[in-house]
Amino acid sequence: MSADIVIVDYAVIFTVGSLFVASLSLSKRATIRQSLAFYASLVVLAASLAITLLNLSIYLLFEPKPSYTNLFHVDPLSYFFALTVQIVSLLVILSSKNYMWSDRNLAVYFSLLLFSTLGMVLLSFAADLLMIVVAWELMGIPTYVLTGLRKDNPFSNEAAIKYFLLGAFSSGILLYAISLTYGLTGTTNLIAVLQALQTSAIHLDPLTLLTLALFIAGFGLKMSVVPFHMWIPDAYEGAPTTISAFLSAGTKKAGFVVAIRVFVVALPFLSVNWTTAFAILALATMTLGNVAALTQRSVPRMLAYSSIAQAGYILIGFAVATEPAKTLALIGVLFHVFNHAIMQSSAFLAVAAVDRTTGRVSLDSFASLWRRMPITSFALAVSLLALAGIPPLNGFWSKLVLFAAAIQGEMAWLALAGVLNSALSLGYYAWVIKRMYIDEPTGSMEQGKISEPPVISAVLLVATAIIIVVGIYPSLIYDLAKAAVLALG
Amino acid sequence: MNEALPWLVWILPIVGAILTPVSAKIGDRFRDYLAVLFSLASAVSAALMIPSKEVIHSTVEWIPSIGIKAGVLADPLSVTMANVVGWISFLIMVYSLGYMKGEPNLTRYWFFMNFFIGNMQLIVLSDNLLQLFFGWEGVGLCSYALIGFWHSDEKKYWVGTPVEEGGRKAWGREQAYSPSHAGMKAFITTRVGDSAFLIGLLILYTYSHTFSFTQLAEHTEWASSLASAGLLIPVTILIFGGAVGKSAQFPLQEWLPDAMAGPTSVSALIHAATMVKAGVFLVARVGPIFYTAFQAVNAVPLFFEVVAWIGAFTAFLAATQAVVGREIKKVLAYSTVSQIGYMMLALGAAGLVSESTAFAGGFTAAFFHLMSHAIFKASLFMAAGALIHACGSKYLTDMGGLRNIMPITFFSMLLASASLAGIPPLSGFWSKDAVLAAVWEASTPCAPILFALAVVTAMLTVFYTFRMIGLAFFGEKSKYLKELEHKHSSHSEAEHHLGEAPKVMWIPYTILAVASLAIGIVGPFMETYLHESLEHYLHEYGFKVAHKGFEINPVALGGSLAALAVGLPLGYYIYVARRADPAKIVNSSSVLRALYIFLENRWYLNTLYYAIFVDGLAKFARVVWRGLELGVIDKWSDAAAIASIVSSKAGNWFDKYIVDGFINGLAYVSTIFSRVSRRIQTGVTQNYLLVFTIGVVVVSIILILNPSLLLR
Amino acid sequence: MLDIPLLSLMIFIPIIGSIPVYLLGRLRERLAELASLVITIVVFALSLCMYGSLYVSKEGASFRFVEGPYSWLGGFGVDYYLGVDGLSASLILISSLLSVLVVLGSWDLITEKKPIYYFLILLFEGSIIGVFCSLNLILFYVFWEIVLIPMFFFIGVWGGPRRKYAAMKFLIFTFVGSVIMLLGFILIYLFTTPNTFNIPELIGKIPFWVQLLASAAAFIGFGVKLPVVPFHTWLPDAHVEAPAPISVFLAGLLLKMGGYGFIRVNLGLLAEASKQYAWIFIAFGILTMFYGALVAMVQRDLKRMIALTSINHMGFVLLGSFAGISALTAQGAVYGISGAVFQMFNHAAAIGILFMLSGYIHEQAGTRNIDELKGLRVGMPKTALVLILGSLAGMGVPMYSSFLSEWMVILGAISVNRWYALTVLIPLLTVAYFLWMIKRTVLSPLPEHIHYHDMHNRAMIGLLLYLVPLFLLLIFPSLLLGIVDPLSLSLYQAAGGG
Repeated sequence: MSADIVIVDYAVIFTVGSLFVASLSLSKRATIRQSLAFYASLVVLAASLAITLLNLSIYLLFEPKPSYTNLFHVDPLSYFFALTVQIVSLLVILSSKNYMWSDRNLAVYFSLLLFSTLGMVLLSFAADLLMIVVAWELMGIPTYVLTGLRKDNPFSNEAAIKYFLLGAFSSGILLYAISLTYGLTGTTNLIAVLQALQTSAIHLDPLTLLTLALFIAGFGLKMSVVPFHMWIPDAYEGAPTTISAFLSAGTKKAGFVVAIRVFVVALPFLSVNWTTAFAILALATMTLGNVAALTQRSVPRMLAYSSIAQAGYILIGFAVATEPAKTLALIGVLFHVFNHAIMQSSAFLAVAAVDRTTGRVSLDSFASLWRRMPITSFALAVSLLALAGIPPLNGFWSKLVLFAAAIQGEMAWLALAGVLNSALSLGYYAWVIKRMYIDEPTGSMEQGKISEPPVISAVLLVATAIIIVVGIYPSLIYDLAKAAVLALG
Repeated sequence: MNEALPWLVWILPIVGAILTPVSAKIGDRFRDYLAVLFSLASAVSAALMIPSKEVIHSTVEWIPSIGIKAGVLADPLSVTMANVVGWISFLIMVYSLGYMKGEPNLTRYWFFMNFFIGNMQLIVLSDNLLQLFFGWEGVGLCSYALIGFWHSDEKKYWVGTPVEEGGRKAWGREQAYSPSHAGMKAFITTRVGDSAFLIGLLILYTYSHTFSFTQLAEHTEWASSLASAGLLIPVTILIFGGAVGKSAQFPLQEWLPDAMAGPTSVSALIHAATMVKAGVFLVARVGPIFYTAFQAVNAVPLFFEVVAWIGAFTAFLAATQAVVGREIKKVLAYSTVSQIGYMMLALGAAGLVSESTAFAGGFTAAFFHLMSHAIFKASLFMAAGALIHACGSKYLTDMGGLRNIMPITFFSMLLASASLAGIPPLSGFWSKDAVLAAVWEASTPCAPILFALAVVTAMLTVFYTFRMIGLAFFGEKSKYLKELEHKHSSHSEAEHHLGEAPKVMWIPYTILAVASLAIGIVGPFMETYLHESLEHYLHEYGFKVAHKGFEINPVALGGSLAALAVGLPLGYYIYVARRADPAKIVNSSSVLRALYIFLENRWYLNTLYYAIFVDGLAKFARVVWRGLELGVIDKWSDAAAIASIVSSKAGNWFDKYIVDGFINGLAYVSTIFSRVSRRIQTGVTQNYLLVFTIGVVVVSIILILNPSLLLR
Repeated sequence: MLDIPLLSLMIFIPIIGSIPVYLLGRLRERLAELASLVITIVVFALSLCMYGSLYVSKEGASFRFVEGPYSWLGGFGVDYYLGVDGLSASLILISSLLSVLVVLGSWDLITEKKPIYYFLILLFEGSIIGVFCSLNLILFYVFWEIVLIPMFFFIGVWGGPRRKYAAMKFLIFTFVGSVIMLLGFILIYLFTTPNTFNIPELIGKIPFWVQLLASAAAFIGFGVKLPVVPFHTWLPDAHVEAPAPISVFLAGLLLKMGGYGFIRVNLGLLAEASKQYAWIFIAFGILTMFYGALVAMVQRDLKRMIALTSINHMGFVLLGSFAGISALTAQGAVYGISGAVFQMFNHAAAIGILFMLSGYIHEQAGTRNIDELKGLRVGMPKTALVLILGSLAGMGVPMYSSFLSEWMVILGAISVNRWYALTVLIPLLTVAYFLWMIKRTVLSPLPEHIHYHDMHNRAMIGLLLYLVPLFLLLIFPSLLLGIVDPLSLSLYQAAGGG
């Protein structure tokens, strides 16, 4: 099946779906505004997921060659990312049933989620810089709104404004980088860029370096790379927790797919430059993330920093994404992107459940949580252990591959920094677990067992199941990632 | 010939020990008699080994993977020893029936007594060093348990004179110890020797690849390889260290006197007759082997020099201390140490002879002295136990004039002490004479000195023996005894009335006393018999045999007689006839007084050891714990944790105030939206974009500098 | 060789079985106790079969009951690959035995949150058996880390007053150690041809420079577990806070992971490096031995004293194994390495009974302070008896096999350098402070105001069971050495000696 049709499918489904959902908000009847919107968006996602899986299986079975249009690549890589982000947004939408239900304009919320998801999906297929920018904005703009959805909450507003400002600025920078690229190579198609660089010697031009820098800055904002991360803690803390999950597990990943497309596919000739940059950024990102997370009092904020740190691990993959370690590194990147998406959304959604029921997300309010919310605490504990990279959970395997890649890429010091960081990170992950399972409840809080929000609990159990299953049988994802990487050539 | 016998000798008592708790369930008397029965069985099976002329050597696989066998070796040496041990232990077990009557926790007592006999026989009969070491530790364990038998530590069981009973402190340290402390002291001190022993035999093994005596004796290549490594002398002396510990020789002699805290029967069995002889036995076992080894590499037999000197010095040291002993058992303990010193001296002398035929001389002397000493010292201890039982006091000064009250005890004790003093024709006389002869014949420049030392010791021995007899049996009844009798007459139902000991007690020690007389009468023949059988045994170790008949060495005879001539009258004059008051003599001159205190405080060696090894080590350990463990090592983990916390705070601060343009404090942001927006209009935006731009610049700088070479 | 996957059964019967045990426990707690006992006994029976067949076929050196390699994360050299040789077999045997005894002991000593407790016990048993029979470095690492989780909760939930601190300290310390170890494994994987994590295929193929780096990494990983001074500081805290049965697991099994790692990885895979730089490891071993004994001497807390004693004992393992690999003669190698394995086995039993005792004493007397415990001989005769018997095992007097193993290790050390003979002085220190402890607690008059209650007979029998292997192996050491010696020999020859 050729590329256009795939893309068209997605575009149609999502646009129609989200417009329909948005229109529901005009309805007077709350049930329509809520239930119908909810189920409609579920249907949309289900459909798109079905398409993705169908195409993927078709691709893997019958058509083992990537197909191109001048705008899109349809290869396992894109399917892989599409799959990931769709799973994430599915989880998010599901758990919104419990979390956002009371919100007045729920329909808008859902439709925005769908739009943003479409953006991410397109992004994972995009093969032309212009297309990338379009998809990038399509993904970004709804999230600005979603972050500020809780109008009455000053946190939310402030976070939204910060996020919006920086988002806009980064888009600007991205455009500037693209125009530079066009100026240097006379094209915006990634393959063409690649060929242009092959033929000419312009990669010695200082302007190319500036271009690289601008690309890194532009993508780095979404990828939460230090020093472009300053919006993250506030946004994740201020936004509705489901949206935090969506941001850290979804849009962030989109940043990585684009990075792969641009740097690894299009600019391998500049790798000497950008690998070094990414190495330093990786070190800074994971270290700052973990160190800062260590003393956070509020769990979402802690998760925010931890998600920054995780981005750092992924960047290790970029740092060595050249021969000899290219394959291993990219496998590691994809693998950890997937795992991190699951782990992070599971963690955030667990927090969402706590926030929903107790209204408090400070670390102290988690004391002996397991008595009151066994499922939630179990899911949170598992996801945290996975994030720390304790075997046999999925996080361990992807980290393993990343570190191996680092050593193979002769950046053993990066691997060492990585393992020490994971040891450090265990410090605060285990601290939360200790709070939930070991500490006695602090006097003030009520001790009665809380009825946990059913849907979120179900979602959490599913996520936990994925974490454990992938942990016990990692080949599941590893082989997929490998296929994706090999198809890149 | 029955291979099982040697096994039975040491396994039977252990079985008996294991059965004790079971039989205790049936009944106390049953338990007691069963225990005695087992010791008898062991003794009998030991006796059954005598007839066999040829050596019994039977082995079983133990650690096949590294070729170590367990086995028993019944040759003249071990058979004789086994019989001495077996029969004396049996008699003492019988004695215990009376002596321990009415004590609580007797199950423990019988268990350890039998367990001890088993381990002792294991030492005697084992055919290799490792197995011997097992028995070695086993007897140490039993001695520990039995010394501390009265572990509840009431004052009346203490050894030494507590301060409140007018005891002296040495360097502010009380010289009296509770039973449990004494047991611990004994175990640890001997364990020091054992460690040396273990080191020695392990190194020996690494060169010889065998623990078995016979193999060690057969191929002496190990000697040359050891010698070439310069380890021959150290190893032999290390192994001798084990003997030093067990036999309470200098410098490890301090535990034995305090071991007297145990029941007297225990002192008699373990700390007089058998266990303390284990050291001598060990040297007798390895002596010939080492001798041949030294011959093989024709090195100076320094080993034997050391043995001889330590023996001689210990003999003298202990004898001087015995002279001033106040407690009857302690006097006997000191004399035990001193007599064992004699045996070591003899063994040392044996190795110092010019030609190997003469080796048998000192060897026999030592063994003969071991035998006779075991007999009369056991008897003495049991008798002393009877005295203590009767008087209810351990102090000699609390006795006196008992010869009419306890005639049998007096008679047998007199015999035994005479034997100890070396009065002809008792066994002690012959054996000591043989020792002196051996020393005289030793072909070493310092033989005369050793000889002189031995003679002086002999004098002291005579003196303190008669001091003991005199204080106990002659002169007036002591004030204490008078009060005691008075008390009894006032109310007749008192626990110990002054009088002869019960049959079950006096029969055993009378038997032994008579035995020592009997052996004395046939002394020469006994000695020749031993000499022949031991020569036959040495022959197996490749010694040339020169059948020499019994002869008396005139010098040695003169020496011992001189000792008698000096010691006997003095002792008699002061203590038996009571013509002079020792206290007055001592107090008359400050020199004598200082000497007296010096001796009473055991030359201050005991105190010195405590100061160095007990307090010193404890202090060191405490310093390490406080300083290193808590001070440094435990800190550094916490320090790391704290460091990361601090850096985390720093990171957050950096994040909030440097990277992230403004304060996210609740105070500010939990205000109305307008205010947020106002702040945003007032320049915070610029902050943001500034930071962002800085980021871009940083990245481009990285790209331009490209420190990749530096990173890879 | 066998049709039934014996090893997988031994790993997964407890791990899977833990879930029904938990559910049963929710029904009635007694059920959880019984069920877990049954499961542990079954595993013990299986391990006996395994050990027995290994013993009969005197092939301690080669891997038996091999399962796999079945590709797990195939693209990355991670296989599911199990097998046992003499080393693993003996450690698995003692693990399953201790699990049974620990479950028995927990009946008395664990009173709250029983279902989850027994759930974790079984999880622990399964994963530690997994550690001991994995033939793939990553599989090994996976089990290695799983072990941490139950232990963290054991200490944190059922622990003493400072349990939270101890639990966190334990977790962080060991985790730091193991991730560094993991780097070493990755290094081995990447720079060895063929690229594999499978131990049997790696033997003798690893280039020397990789060996050096990997040894350093492994030393930290295993050294924290063993523990080697100065990485030991987590251990006293963990032990003091952990409940007694868990201390048994900690000292009896968890520390063995360190010793096992040293022998399996350093001696087995990194042989040349270990041989060349053995003296470093030996030095650390001796330091550990002396240090442990020395600081144990001044302890007032009975349990802390025992904990430091076990540090001292584990020093023997380090000394023995590396003395063995660098020994001059094959004989010496057999002494050192077999001695080390033997020592691990004995230590597990000996330290087990001591820790269990400390738990009982604490329960019966309300304190573990040696100065406050008085007149146990009168107050609780049974406990006193067991305490003395156990202490004798701790001292290594020649009444138990622990003496044999200790002198084998020392013998191995001597065959490298005569001066190592001085390590004989360490048991002397041990004896000193154990006797001092006994004098103060057992052999002292019972104050009037104190009234202890003694342990009941089942508990005493449960404790005496620990001593059975020690007696047995004293008389028939070949039961263990029979399968360990070939292994030691092959390790030595693989290292280019003999």
